[in-house]
Amino acid sequence: MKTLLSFAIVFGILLTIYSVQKKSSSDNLKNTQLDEPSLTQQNLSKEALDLKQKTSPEASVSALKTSGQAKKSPFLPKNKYEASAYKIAQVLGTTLGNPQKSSSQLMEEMENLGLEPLASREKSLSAPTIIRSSNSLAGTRYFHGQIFKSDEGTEHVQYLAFEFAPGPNAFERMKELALSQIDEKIISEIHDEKMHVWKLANGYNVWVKILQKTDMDNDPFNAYSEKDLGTVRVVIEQDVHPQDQHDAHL
Amino acid sequence: MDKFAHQKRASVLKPLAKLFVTALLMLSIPSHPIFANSFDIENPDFFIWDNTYGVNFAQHCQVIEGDAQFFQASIVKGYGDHILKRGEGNSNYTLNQGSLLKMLSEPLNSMLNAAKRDLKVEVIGVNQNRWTVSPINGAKTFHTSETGAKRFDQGLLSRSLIRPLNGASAVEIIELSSAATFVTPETFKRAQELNKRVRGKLLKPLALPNGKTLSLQCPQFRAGETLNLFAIFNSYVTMYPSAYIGISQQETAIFKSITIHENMFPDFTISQNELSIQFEQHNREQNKKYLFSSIAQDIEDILDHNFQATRASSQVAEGPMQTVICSQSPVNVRSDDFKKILFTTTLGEKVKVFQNLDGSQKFMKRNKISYEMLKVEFPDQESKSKKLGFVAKNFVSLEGDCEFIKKLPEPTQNQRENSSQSAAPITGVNDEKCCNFPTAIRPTQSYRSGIRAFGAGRDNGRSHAANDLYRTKDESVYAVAGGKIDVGLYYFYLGTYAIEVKHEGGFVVRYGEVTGKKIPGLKVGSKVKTGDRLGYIAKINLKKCCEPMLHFELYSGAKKGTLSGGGKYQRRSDLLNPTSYLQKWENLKFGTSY
Repeated sequence: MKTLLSFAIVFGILLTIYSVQKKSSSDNLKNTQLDEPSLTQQNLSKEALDLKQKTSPEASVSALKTSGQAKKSPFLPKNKYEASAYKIAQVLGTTLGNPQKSSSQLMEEMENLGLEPLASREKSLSAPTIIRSSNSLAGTRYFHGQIFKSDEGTEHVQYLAFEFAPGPNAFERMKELALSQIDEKIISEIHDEKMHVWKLANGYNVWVKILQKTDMDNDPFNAYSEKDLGTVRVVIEQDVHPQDQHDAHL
Repeated sequence: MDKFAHQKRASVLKPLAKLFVTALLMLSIPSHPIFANSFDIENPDFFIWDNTYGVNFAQHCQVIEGDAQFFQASIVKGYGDHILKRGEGNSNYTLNQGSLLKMLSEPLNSMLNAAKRDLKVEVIGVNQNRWTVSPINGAKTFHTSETGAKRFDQGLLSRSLIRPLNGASAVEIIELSSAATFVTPETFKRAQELNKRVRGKLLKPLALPNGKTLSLQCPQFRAGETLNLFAIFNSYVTMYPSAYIGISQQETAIFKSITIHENMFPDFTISQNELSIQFEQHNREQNKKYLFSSIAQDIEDILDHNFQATRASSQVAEGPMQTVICSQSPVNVRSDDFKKILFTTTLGEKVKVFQNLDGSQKFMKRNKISYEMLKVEFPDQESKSKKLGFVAKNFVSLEGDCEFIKKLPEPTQNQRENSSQSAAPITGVNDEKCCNFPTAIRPTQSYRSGIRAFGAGRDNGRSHAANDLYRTKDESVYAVAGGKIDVGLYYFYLGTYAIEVKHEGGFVVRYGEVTGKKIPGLKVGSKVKTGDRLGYIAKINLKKCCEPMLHFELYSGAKKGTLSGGGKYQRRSDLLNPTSYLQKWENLKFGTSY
C-alpha cells in the first residue's frame, strides 16, 4: 500500500512539473504574433538553430564587444517571421553604426539576404538613389532604402525601412527588435500606442509604427489591401528637426 | 539508286489514303461544313515568320495578289548534283537538286529573257532528300558532300536549272524538318509553342493558275515588306491547310532544314478573295482571344524576350523608382485564381507590386508554361474594380528599365514651352517678381520664431535647416515660382514625404513634411507654374506630437548633389535662410506680416 502511495505521489509530482512546463511552452507560443512554428527544439531547422545560437543573449553580448557598448536588449526571434525580421533589422543596425553606406554596399547586403534589390535614380543630381527589395523574406516585405550623395560624391543612408506582418504582438516585438539594434546614445523618445520614436545622438531617428489606413492609402511606393491594416514599419532615418522641436508638443 | 523512289511510292499511296480519309469523314459526319464550304472547317491561322521570334501571329496584314516571287528552286531532273560555280580560282560547290534559292540579281522573269547563261543565287535551303542506301541492311543515310553547298553559300547556277516556286512545278512542297528547333530562345515560350505548328509540316507556296502569287503585307513587320504566302498542311492526307505563313526573303531560317517533295496537293487552290475572307476571320478570332480569352497570353509570351535585356542586378536604373506595365501589347489583369481576365492594361501604366508576407510566389500554368504572377495595385485607376489584379511578372518593370517607354517620343520644345510656362520667368530667388507664398492662408504661428525658425538650435549643436509653416492637415502646398519637379516624393520624416523643385533661375526648394498623395500628372521633370499645387500638408501621425506643417528648405542651386550634407545644418552647403524671402512673399500675398 505504501509503495502504491509513494508511486502515486511521485506520479503526481511529475504530472505537475509536466503541466507547468506545458503551460510555459504554451504561453511562449501565445506570445508569438503569427501562426508560425515556434523555434522550439523539436522543429528547429539547422538554419534556425544557427540563428538561435547567434542571437542568444551570450552571443549578442559578445558580438557587441567590438562596438564597445552593450545593446540594451538582445532580441531572440520566436518564430520564422521574427527570424526574417531579425536578419533584415541587422542591416538597419549596421547602418546606424555606419550611415556612410554606399548604394552598392546596401545592395550587396540585400542580395545576401535574398531580397533581390532593384535600384533607381532620377537624372537630377539631387535625387537620391532608391533601392527596394523585389523579393521578401517570410513575415517581412517592402525593404526600402534612400541613399543621398553629397556634392563631394560620398553617399550616406537617409532612410531605411522594412515592414512586418500584422499580429497581436507585432508592434511590441518590432519595438524590441529596433531597440536591440541601437548602439548609439538615445537622446529622447516620443511614443504613443501606435508609434515609437527614438532620437539618437548621431542625428538619426529610429521609429516603429503600426501603419494606419491613411499611411497606406497615400504611400507612393508600397501596395496595400485592407487586410494589411496593422502592418508594422521599422525605420531608421536622418533627423530633420532639432531634438526639442517636436518634443515640445508632448 | 532512284533518289525519288519513296516519293513515287508516296504519290501512289497518298491519293488512296486521302480517298480513304475522305470516305471515312463522309460516312461519320456527312453534314460537316467542310462539304458545304471548303474553308469553314478549320478557321486556319495566319502566321508570319521571324528569324528571332520564330512563328508569330499575323495581325493587321493584308492579303495581296501580285507578281512577287522571291523563292526559286533548282529543278529535279535525272541524277547527280548541280554545279554552283564560285568564280575564277575557287572550286565549285555541288548543289543538291531541288534546293531553295534566292536570286541575287534581277527579277527572275527578266533574267529568263536575258542572254546570261548563269545566274547568281544564294542557297537558302538545301534539299536533304538525298540518300545513300546501305547495301547490307538497306538503311537510308542522308548523304552530304564536303563540297556540297550549304545555306548562305552563293554562286552562279545555270539558268536552265532554276525555276520559280509558283505552283506549276513538280517540286512544290517543302517539308520542314521535324527535328528542327528553329533556335528559338528559351524565353520566347509562346513562340516555341507556335513553332510546333510548323515543325515537320508541309509548306505549299500559294500561286494562282495565272502565275501570280499570293502574298501578305503587314505594316508592322519589316516596314511592310511583302511576304510570300505558304499554306501549311499537317500531313500528306490532309485536304486543307491548317494555317498559312508569310515568309520574307530576308527571314529564311525556317528553311534551314528542309526536304523538297513533288506537289502532293495538286487540287488545292485558293483565290485572293477567299484568302482575304479567311484572314478577316483569323483576325476576329485573334482579337477575341486577345481581349477575352485565356489565350490572350499568346502575344504577351512572345514579348517575353524584351525583359531579358534588362540591366544586370546591382546596377542602378535611371528614372523614378516606379514600376510600370512594360509591354507593347495590352496586358491582361487576372483574378486571384488567374481564371478570369478582369481588364486589360497598357504600356506605362503605373503599378505598385504586392510582396507576399509569406515569402511565396504564385504561378499560372498555361500551355505547359509556367508564369510567375504578381499581385499589383493600379494607383492611378479611379474605378475600384480596376484597382487590383494579377499580371505576369514579365510585364512589370522599373520605368527606367522599360525600353518601350524610352522609345516614346519626347515632347518637342514647342510642346514643352506651351505646356507649362509662366508668363515672365524670374531670374532667381532675388528677382523682384519672385515669388508666391507656398500656402493658401497665412501660417497659424510665426515661422520666424521659436522652434519653427530657421537656425533653431539643439543640444548637440545641430540647427534647424528650414522654416516650418504651420497650417492644417491636407491643405495644398503651392509652387513658389515656375520650375521643374527635380525629385519626386520620397520618404522624409516620421512617415511624411518631401518633393523638390528646381525653380526658375536655378534655386531649389525642398517642400518637406507633405503627404504621400500624388498630384495627378505631376512627376519628375514636369514643369510647374507659380502657384501650381505640388502636394498636401501632412501631420505626423503621433499623438500629442507635432502640428501639421510645411517644412520649407531653400537652396541657391549653386551646388550639386542631394540636399543633405555636413555642417551645423547637416545640409548641402548652398542652403539659404528662407525667412526673409518668405516674409516678403507673405507680405505680397497677405499684406502686412505679423
